[in-house]
Amino acid sequence: MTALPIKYIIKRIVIFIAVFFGALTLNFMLPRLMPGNPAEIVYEDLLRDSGGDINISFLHQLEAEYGISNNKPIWIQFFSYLNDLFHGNLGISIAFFPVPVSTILYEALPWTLFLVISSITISFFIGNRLGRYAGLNRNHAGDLIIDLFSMFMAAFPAFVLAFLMLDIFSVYGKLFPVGGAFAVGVNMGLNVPFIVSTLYHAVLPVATITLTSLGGWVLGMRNNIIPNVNSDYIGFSQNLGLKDYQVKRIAYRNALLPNLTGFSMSIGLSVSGVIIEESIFSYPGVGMYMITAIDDLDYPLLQGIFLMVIIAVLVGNLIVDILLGILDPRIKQEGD
Amino acid sequence: MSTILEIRNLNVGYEGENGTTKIINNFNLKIEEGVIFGIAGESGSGKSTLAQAIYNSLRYPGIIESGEVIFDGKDILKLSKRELRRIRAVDTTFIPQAAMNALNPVKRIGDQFNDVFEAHGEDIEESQSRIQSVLNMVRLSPEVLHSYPHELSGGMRQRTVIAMALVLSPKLVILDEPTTGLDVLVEHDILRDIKRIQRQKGFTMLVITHDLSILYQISDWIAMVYAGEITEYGKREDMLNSPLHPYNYLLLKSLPRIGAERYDGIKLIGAPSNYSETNKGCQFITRCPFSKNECQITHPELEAGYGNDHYYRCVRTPDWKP
Ligand SMILES: Nc1ncnc2c1ncn2[C@@H]1O[C@H](COP(=O)(O)OP(=O)(O)O)[C@@H](O)[C@H]1O
Ligand code: SF4
Ligand SMILES: [Mg+2]
Repeated sequence: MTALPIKYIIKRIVIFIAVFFGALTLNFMLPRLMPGNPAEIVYEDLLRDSGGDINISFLHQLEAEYGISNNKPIWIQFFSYLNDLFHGNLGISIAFFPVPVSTILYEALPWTLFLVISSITISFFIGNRLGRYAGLNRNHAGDLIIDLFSMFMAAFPAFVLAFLMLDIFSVYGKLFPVGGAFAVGVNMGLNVPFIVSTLYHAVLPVATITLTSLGGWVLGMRNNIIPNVNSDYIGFSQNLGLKDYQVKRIAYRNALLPNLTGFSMSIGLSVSGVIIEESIFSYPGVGMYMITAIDDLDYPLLQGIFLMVIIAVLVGNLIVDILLGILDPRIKQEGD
Repeated sequence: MSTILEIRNLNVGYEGENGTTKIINNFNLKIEEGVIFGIAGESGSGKSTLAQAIYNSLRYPGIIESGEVIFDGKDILKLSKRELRRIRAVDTTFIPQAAMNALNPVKRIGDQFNDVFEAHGEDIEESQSRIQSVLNMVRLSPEVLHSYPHELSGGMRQRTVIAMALVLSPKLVILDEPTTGLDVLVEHDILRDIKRIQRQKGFTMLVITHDLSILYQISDWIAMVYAGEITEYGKREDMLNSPLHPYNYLLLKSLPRIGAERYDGIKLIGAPSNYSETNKGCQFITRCPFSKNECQITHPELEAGYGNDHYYRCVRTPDWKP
């Protein structure tokens, strides 16, 4: 074994940092380009609720809190935004005033990550296995069934599937809960009832996200493995009398590499899919909060959520890129 | 000398929408142990099809309609998948056309050698010395074992493939176009090395190529194939000095360095064609400048020539000879 492709990894990390800063800047600009001002929204809400009994100085206090005081130059605002960010200060939510955005994300993010990571992993493994079977048994009955199922699932709208699953298994079948991440009355922590309850509540959302992303993997792997099976190196390994499992391993491994690139693209898709699923399954992840944030024009919360999505997608891409660099020697050389 | 490979009445074709296209027609050949046997034919004449059929590695839509390929007393075409797998690389080996693309791009060369040992139940540790000696034979440094294929030149990859095919010391080595895609100097070196290795190890070699000069350079025996049939075969010297079929005669004329006489105005024109069942006469008739009416009447059989071990398929030999 030679060492890791260090140069390639460094290059990837530099790109990662550059894109990340670009995204931060965009995230900073976005609310400033939108109509309205979060401080005014909160102020007016409070004004309405309290019957007009609030001092105007509170508005300025709020503006300072949100870092959008108009009397400071924009670059100062940008630096204080960055400074806040690196101290974990993402501002105060409007919809859940006065809870800090970071607190909300801290509670919601683990649930979303749990859903995304478990469903992507499950669908990646099952999808690639099914695609491998289909590709190696091309035009047999099994292949045709798998292909039809995959195309159907890939074309089926995620939110419709979510509603169907909810109706069939929860509302009508009463097999699974209609919402939440764990049962009321269970203590959060490392205890058996909590883990069981969490898994039980995750079944439907995870199954739904897995099913909607499965088709892409299956078809991707099937289409990658077919030209591989007819490739010169598979022919030669058969000429050398390699065993069936060795030949299949070679074909699978070579077909997996382009599918890994698909993996990094699917992270973004899964994150956006998760937002819809969470709101339908009332799952207390980032997605559910995002719907609330949009309804209430909660810019700070939206900003915080976008930031999380960006980080998730970028980190996912970085991991896949590095993995590809290690697994595919040809890529490593390109990066040198 | 005993026979190591015998091909009997082999018929091979490709299935298509309008039935099967016949590529190899009633092919018969015996190859003696320890020789380099060359088969020549133009592009598209069915050489690769023949080679794959002999190795029983032809894939659909190619089908072997009938015939036997007797190797080591057994019919290769009747072996089970498992038996076939077991003799590959161990008793016989096949180096395909465009061999420099035949390596797995994402695996180190050393690991690809180890796969061969694993497949045939050889201990990987104990087998490392075999890799060293075979690399030495093809004049590659052991450093290639740590490389990936894309890090090597075309010639090095070709040598690697040859080494991999020879590492378990098979008795019969089949090479399809051993040097296409390489530049002339590399080609020359590799051919010389292949011949040297064959002489050292004494295995039997079947070389298939469209390049007549390569064939005359390395073979002990030569067969010429046209439209899925042998038109002439014999020992290298006999084929070179006294061609008994117009095809060989014309091809030799087109080789400036090897042909004894200078170009005299007769040459081979037209494109090769597949075997045609509607043609009752000689398959070469459409391109033969010496054809007469008699050539249309019956399909010429292979006949023994004037010396020993020289055969031809022409009704007008020796009348056509100038
Ligand atoms: N997979 C295939 N399907 C149909 N026809 C084929 C296939 N492979 C080769 N052929 C046909 O068989 C003939 C011989 O091909 P091939 O054996 O590759 O010739 P050579 O190696 O002498 O150039 C050609 O006419 C070619 O068109
Ligand atoms: S049989 Fe006739 S057509 Fe055929 S090679 Fe001989 S001379 Fe030519
Ligand atoms: Mg060929």
